[in-house]
Amino acid sequence: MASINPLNQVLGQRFSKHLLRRASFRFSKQDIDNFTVLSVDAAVEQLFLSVADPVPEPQDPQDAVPFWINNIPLVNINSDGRKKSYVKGAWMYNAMSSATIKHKLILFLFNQFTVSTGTGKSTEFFDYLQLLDFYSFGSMKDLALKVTYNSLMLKYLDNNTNSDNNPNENYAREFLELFTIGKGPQVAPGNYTNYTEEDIVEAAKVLTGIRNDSSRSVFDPLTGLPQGYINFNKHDIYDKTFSAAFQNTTITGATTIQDVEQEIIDFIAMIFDQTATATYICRKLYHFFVGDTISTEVENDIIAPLSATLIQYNYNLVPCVKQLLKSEHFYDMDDSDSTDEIIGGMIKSPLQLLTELTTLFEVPVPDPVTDAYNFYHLYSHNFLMAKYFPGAGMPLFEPNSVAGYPAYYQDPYYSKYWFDSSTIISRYKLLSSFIIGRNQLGGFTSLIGLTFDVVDCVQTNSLFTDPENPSALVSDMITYMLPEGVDSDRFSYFYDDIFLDGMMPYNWTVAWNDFLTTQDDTVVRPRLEQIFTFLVNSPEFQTY
Amino acid sequence: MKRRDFIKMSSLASLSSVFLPNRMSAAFSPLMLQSCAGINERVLVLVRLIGGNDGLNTIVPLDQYSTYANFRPTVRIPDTGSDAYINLDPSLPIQDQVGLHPVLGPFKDLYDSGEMTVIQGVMYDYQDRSHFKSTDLWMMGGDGTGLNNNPGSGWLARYLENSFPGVAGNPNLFSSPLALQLAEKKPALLFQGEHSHGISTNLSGQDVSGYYSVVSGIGGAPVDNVPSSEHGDLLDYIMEVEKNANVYSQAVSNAFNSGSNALTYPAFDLADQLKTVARLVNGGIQTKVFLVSLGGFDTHGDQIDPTMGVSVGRHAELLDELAQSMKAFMNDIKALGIEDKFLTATFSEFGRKVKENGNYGTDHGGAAPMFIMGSCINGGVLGTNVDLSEATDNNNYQIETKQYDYRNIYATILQDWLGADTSIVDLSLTDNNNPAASYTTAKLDTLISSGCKVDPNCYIINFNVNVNEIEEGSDIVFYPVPARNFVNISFGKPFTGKVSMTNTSGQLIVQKVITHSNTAYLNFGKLAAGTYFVMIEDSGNKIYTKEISVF
Repeated sequence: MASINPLNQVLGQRFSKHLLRRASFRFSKQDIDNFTVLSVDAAVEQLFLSVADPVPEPQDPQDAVPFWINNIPLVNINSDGRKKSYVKGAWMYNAMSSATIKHKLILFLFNQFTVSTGTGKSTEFFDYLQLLDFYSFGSMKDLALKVTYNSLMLKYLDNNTNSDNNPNENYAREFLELFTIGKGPQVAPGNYTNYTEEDIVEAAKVLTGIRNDSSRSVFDPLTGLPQGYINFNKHDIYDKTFSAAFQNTTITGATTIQDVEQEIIDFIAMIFDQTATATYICRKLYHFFVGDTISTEVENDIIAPLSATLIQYNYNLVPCVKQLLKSEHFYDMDDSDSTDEIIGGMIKSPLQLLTELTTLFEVPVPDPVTDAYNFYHLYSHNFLMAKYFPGAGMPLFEPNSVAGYPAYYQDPYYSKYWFDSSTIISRYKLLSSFIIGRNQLGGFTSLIGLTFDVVDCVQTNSLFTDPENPSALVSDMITYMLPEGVDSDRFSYFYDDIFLDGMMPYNWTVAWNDFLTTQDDTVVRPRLEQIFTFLVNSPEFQTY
Repeated sequence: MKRRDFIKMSSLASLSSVFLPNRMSAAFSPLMLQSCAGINERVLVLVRLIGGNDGLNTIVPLDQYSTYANFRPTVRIPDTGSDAYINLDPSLPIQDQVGLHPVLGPFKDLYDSGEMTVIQGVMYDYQDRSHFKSTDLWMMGGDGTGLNNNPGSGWLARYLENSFPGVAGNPNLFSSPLALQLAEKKPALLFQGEHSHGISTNLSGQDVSGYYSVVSGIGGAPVDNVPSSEHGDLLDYIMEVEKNANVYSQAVSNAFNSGSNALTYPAFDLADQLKTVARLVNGGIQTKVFLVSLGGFDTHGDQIDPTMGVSVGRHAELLDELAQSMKAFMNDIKALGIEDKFLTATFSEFGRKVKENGNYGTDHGGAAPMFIMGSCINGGVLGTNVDLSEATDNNNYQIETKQYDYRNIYATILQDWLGADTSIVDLSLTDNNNPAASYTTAKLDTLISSGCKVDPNCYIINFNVNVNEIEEGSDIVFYPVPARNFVNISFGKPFTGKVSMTNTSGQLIVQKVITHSNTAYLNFGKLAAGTYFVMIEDSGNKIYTKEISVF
C-alpha cells in the first residue's frame, strides 16, 4: 500500500540527493550536505522559501539599449530570436542559483500551459515566464484565468481570432484536453467522459472576443504584467450550455464587457469544480516529480488524497506539492523494500542533466552581468539553445506540440523518451564540449563561452575530500553523482579499469603530488578527464 | 564460406538477402520462387503529416463545388484564375472528380503516370479530435470504440515483431534496424513493440554519414549486476538503447556512405528525409519501414494569405513541400532503378472541419484523403467524393461517412505489398472488439498492380533469420565430400525437419522430410560438377546451411 503519510525522519544523504534533484535545479555538494542533516519536513519547507533571482531581467549585450525587456511595445525589436535565447539563458541561470523548487514549478506550469517560443516576441515570452513565476507558488485556477488573457497564448492557440460569428476552437479544445480537466476515455462518439465535442463548441463561444495587445500597454492590476483585452463586439452574447459532464451548466450570455469577464470566470470555475480536474493535475504532478508509472495503488493512495488537498486549497499548488514531497511514498518508505521504486526511477531531462553537471562540478558558467557576451551569446544562445537542447530532444520552452514534452505525458514510456538513439550524442558529448570549450555535438565546433577544467575542479571543489587518494577520489564522485550506491564490481570497474587503468594506487598519489609541485598536469589531466567522462556518461548518472 | 557469402551467391532475389521467408514449400519450388521474387526487398515509407491535413483543400469535391465554396468563403480554392484548382482527372464520373490544390501539380504528374492513388474518405469509427489521442490511435491501429481505444503498442511494431521474431535489437541476426525514423525526436508509437525495444532507430537531426563514428564506443561497460528495481529497469533500458545505437549505427552509416542519389532534391526538410531514405536503400540497408514527417498542418489560422490568395499561406507552403518532395523522391528512385522496392503512403491524424472558422483557417475534423505513391500501384481514385450535405450545425460541420477504414488500407499494404500472411496481418491490426474478424476481408483489391501484388502462395509467416552456417566441428556431419550421386548427413542426435538441396541459382534439386532420425540419405543423382547448397530446417524453424562440392 502506497502512503501519502509524512515521513518523519532526518533526510540523510540518499534522500537529500533525491529531494534536491527532483525538486530543484541546484545540486551542489554544499546543498546536499546542508539538506542531509535536516528533517524531511524542514528540507521541503526550505525549498518553498522565497528567494530573489540574481538576474531578474535579462539583457542583450549586443544591443545599444541595455535593458530592453520591460514594458516596451512589440515593434522594432532587433534580433528577436537571439533575445528569446537570452531570456531562457537568464532563467536557467536563476534556476541553478539556489536550491528552490520555484523553477521546477515554473517548468511544470509551462508544461501544463504550454506555449511555444516559436510564436510571439521575446518580450511576450518574458511576460509569460513572469506570469508563471508569479503563480509558481499560487493557484492553478487563477493562473488558468490569466493565461486566457495572455497575449502569447492568445496568439499561440489562435484565440485572438476567435469571434462570435467565426468561432475558432483551438484554444477551447486544448484548454479542456490539456490545460485543465484532461481527456477521459471516449465512451460514445464525441464524448470523452470529462467533456464532449459539444462542450468544446460551447467553450469556444465563451472564449470569443479576447484580443492580444501588441502595444503592451494593457496591464493586469494583480500581476502588473501586460495582457490582452476584451473586444465586446466579437464576443458571442448568447447563453452557452454544457453537457452532463458539467452538470448541464448554462453560462448566461454577456451584455457588457464586465459580463464577459464574468462568463470566463464562471467557465473556469465550472471546470475547476470538477474532481476530474484535480485528478488530472495531480497525475501530471506525479509524473513530473515522482515517477513514470501510476498503478491502481498509487491512483488510490496518492493521487486521490493529493487531489483532495488541491481542491481544499483552491488549486494552490504549494500544500499539494509539499504533501507529495514529504510523503513516505516519495522516498519509497511506504513498504518493506525501500530500494525498489522511485529513487533512480526516472531518466533525467536534458535540463536536469545540464544543471546537475553544472552545479555539482561548479562548471564556470560566465557571469551574466560581468561577462554578458560569453554568457548570453556563446553559452546560452549559440551552444545551449541552438545545439544542446534541440539535440537532446528538449528545445527549451519550445516543445514541438501544445501537449508539452512527451516525457511528461506520453504513455507508456514517459521519462524514457528523453533517451534514444537520436538524443544520445548530445547527452554524451555535453561534458566533452565543456572540457574542450567548444561545441562537440555536431556542426561547427564553435566556442561555447566557458571551459571546464577537471584538474582545477578536483583541486578546488569541496566534493573532493582527498584528491591524492585515488580510492577516495572515485568514491567521492560516485557517492554524490549516482542516485544509488554501486556494488564492488561496479566500483572496481570505475576505479581499477577506468581510473587507475593498470596503475598502482600509489602511482596516482605520486602523480598528483608531482602535479601540485610542478603544475605539470600531463599525467593527471587525461586520467581525470577519463573518470569524469565515464561517470557522467554512465547509465546510472542518466537516472535520478 | 560465411553465411553472407552463401547468400550473396544465391541469385534468386528471395534468397539474396540475409533472411529467408519462412514458407519453405514455396521457397523451394522454383516456380514459386520466381513469382515470389523480390518481395522481401520491399519497403514501406510512411509520410506523416502532423497536425491534421485539411483534406478538403487538398482535394476539392468538384461535384459540390458551390456547397464547398459556401462553407469556405475565404479559404476556398477558386475555380477560376491563376489560383484555380487543378482537375485531377476530368475523365472520372463527376461525383468522383476532385480539384487538386493549385500547388499540387507534382501530384497530378504522378497521378497521370499511374504512380499515385488517391483514397477518399479515410477515417476510423468514433473519430477522436484530439491531435494526441488521434495520432496515438492511428499509430496503434485503434479507434475510439470500446477495447480499441488503447491497443497499447504500434501496429507496425506488431507486424515487425511477428514477422521478424527475435530480431529487434539483435543485430547479429539482422544488421539493419527494422524501422528508421527520420524526423521528430520523440520515438513514434508506431514502432513501440509489445515485447521488445529497439525496433526502430531514430535518426532525427543526425549526420547520418558520421553517425557511426560518433556513436561507436559511446558509453562505457555495461552494469553487470543490475538491481531488481525501477532504477535497474532504467539501467537495462539505457544500456539497450546504447547498444542498439552502437550496433545499428554501423549499418546505417555504411549504407549511407555506399549509397547515392541520382538526382537533386528541392531544399525542403521533407525532401532531405526522403533523399536519405533513397540513399540508404540504394546503399543496401535492409530496413523494412521508414517514417518521415512534415509538421504544421494544424491550420486554425493563416491557412491562406488573404491578400495573396490560396497559393500563399501555411497550407500552400506545406502542400508544396509535400508534393515537390514526393515527386523528387519518385524521380530519384526511378533514376536509381530501385523504384519497385518502394511504396509510399501519407497519413495524418484527421482532416478538418468542412466549414472554415472565419480566421483564414479550419478546425479539427474527421475523414480525409490518403495518398499512395509507387511504381507498383494501379493509380486512380478509390472511393467517391465526400458528401458535404452531411456537414450541418448539428454535427459541428463534419463529414460522417467512413469510406475506408485506415486499417483496411494498411492490411492491404501489409499483405498485397509486403506479403504478410493473414495470420500476421491479424496480429498487427486487430479489432479488439471482435478479435475473430480480419481486416484482410475488406482489402482494397485494386490498390497494388497485378504485376506486383503478392500471390497468396508467397505470403510470409515470418522472415526466418535463424540461418546458421554449419561450421567445421559441428555435430552435423556430411559424408562423403566431395559427393557424387548422393550425400549422407549425420545429425548427431534424433532430428525432425526438412532437408533440401539447391544449386547456386536457388533451384531445388531434392527435398526430404525427416522424422526422428539420426541420419538422412540424400540422393540427387547425376549432377553437373560444382557447388551446391544443403539446407536443414528443424522443427523450430531454425535453418542450417552447408555448401558441398559435387564432382
